[in-house]
Amino acid sequence: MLMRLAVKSLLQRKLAVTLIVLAMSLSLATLLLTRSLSSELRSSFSNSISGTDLIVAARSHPLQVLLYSVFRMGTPTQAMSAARWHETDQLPQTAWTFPVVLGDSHQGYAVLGTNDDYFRHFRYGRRQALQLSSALPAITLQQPHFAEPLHVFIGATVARERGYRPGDQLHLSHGTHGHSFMPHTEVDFVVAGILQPTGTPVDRSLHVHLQALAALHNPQQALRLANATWQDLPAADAISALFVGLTSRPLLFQVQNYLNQPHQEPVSAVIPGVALSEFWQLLGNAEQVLQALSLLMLITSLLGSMAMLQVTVAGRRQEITLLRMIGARPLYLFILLETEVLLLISASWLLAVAGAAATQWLAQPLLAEHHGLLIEPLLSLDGSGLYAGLSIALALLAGLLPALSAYRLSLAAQH
Amino acid sequence: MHPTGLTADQPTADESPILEIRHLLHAWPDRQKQPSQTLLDIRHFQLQAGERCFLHGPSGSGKSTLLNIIAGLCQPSTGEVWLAHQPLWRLSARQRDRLRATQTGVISQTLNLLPYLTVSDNLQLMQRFAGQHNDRDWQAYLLQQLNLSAQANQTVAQLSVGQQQRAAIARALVHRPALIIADEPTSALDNDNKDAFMKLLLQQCSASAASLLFVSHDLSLQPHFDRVLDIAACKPGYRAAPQSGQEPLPC
Repeated sequence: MLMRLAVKSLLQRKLAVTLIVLAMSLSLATLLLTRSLSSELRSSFSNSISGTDLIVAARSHPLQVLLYSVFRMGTPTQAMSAARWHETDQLPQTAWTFPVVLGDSHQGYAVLGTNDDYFRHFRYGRRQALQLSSALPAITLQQPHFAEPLHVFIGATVARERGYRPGDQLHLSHGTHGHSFMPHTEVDFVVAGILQPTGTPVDRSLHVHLQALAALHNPQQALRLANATWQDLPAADAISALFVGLTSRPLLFQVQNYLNQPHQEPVSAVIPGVALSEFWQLLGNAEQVLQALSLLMLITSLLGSMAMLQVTVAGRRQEITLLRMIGARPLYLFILLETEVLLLISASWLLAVAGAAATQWLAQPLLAEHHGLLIEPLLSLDGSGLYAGLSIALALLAGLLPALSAYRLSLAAQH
Repeated sequence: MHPTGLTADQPTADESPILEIRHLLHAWPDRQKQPSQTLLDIRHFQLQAGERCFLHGPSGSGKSTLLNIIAGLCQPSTGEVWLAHQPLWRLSARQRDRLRATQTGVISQTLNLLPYLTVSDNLQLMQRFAGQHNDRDWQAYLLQQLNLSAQANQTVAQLSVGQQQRAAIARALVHRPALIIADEPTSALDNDNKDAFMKLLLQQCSASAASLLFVSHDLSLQPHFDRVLDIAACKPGYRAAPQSGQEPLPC
């Protein structure tokens, strides 16, 4: 009956209740989204690369190297010479390497120049290798390779959004902007295969052979590229970064130190995990500020809501007098008011979870398309229990104010 | 669980009055306007089981305060009040709340029912506060007696004023209290509704053998009652007009 009374009494004041629930659920949804999105981003970022011991690039900040080589954010300022690449490749501690050349784009998607070793050694998530979901007949799905110089392997998102299928032809352009200023000479690449979705920046990349890319950038050779064979292609003279796997993990720091030593062509050898955690420290601060702000917002809306409830208590004097008259104890009225608060915060939570889940689900494709951020479409509620408990406790605390006025009002009715 | 200190002179339930007031003095405690002016001064007053008493007096004469004292919502400055054989002044606030819920049924001028609940819910709520089980047959019978069967599941806000006051009778009687306290219950009603209300109220009080303490300034209602008292009579310095034919409250 207490619950029935509380529900009916709240329904009696639909406008005030709607406003209270809206205000509280907005701030709760902000809190939920901040948490969910940052944990999504964190896992999306850390899943983007695994199994690579070092990323070597022309001397620059480790974060910058990580951002452009793994996340396709920004462009390398300097290239690394092929000589330095082969030198690193020849080190006794080196198990494998693959080069990447960045700086080109196709309709806003990054174009990555590399070689067959990329498909052999690149790993993401839990040491998963890249596989194809469909391909030209000449290519095996488990082990992609560049059978022809003008083959291109495209990420799952690129294929889905642009509707490419194996055998389709496409142009490449220079620069990383969506609309190219100076398209490369009319050379058509052939879609050789479509990669399976990975949830990493690979999904939004096009992979071509780095020698084809080098030829494309050279006007004289580009003209003859259309019917070129492997022999016609020049060797690449520079790359953007080199991914390195070592024969043994304990050698990691030794090799890193060796590579970072002064050299006529200085390079930075970056350990991806270290750079990633550095990246997170940077973003972690922003994350904490966001969370603090959304907590403040929650407190503000709670206070506002309770002020609104307080005002309604004053208008419920007759109701409270009546309840006293038919035998309700002051404690009962106190509990009734706190029950109303509990109902309000529960309704706000339900609305907030629904709203946040819908927002994330709707925002997921937009974030992917416009910002290259890959998140799960489903809202993650991990660690939100703390906030649920905290906000309910805060609400009940704030509800003390109206509840106490009801209590005092009921005592005052005795005179 | 009788409160301690009950003496041998406590009357037995069958013969004793349902309400007894002795040496009651009441003044507003902290009013700056009228410092310690005595509002009520009642030497002795009794209401027998089943008796109907009409209490009248001008506004501000302390009628509502007296009713609040009887209901246990307010403590008199001094004096003894016995309600249903319980010494009110010795009970804790909690025990007084309990006694009020079980032994009295209050009908006031307006707002006798929670407007957002149905009539039926209001009756249930009353039985619940009185600690009784939810007796739906009895509720339905009462509503039928009061000609409200069709309105049982309507919210109170949908009822007419007359229907609301009739429903108030049902709410006041549903937990079978010993005493019905009515505070100007007819003042919001037109004449037709007033007559119907009085008829039903008296009928139902008789049917459940409840005493009725009825406060009003509407003297036309006097003939319905066993006894008529003038509350102004217990003001200090009051002398009953001999020709009024009314019995003053013994002061």
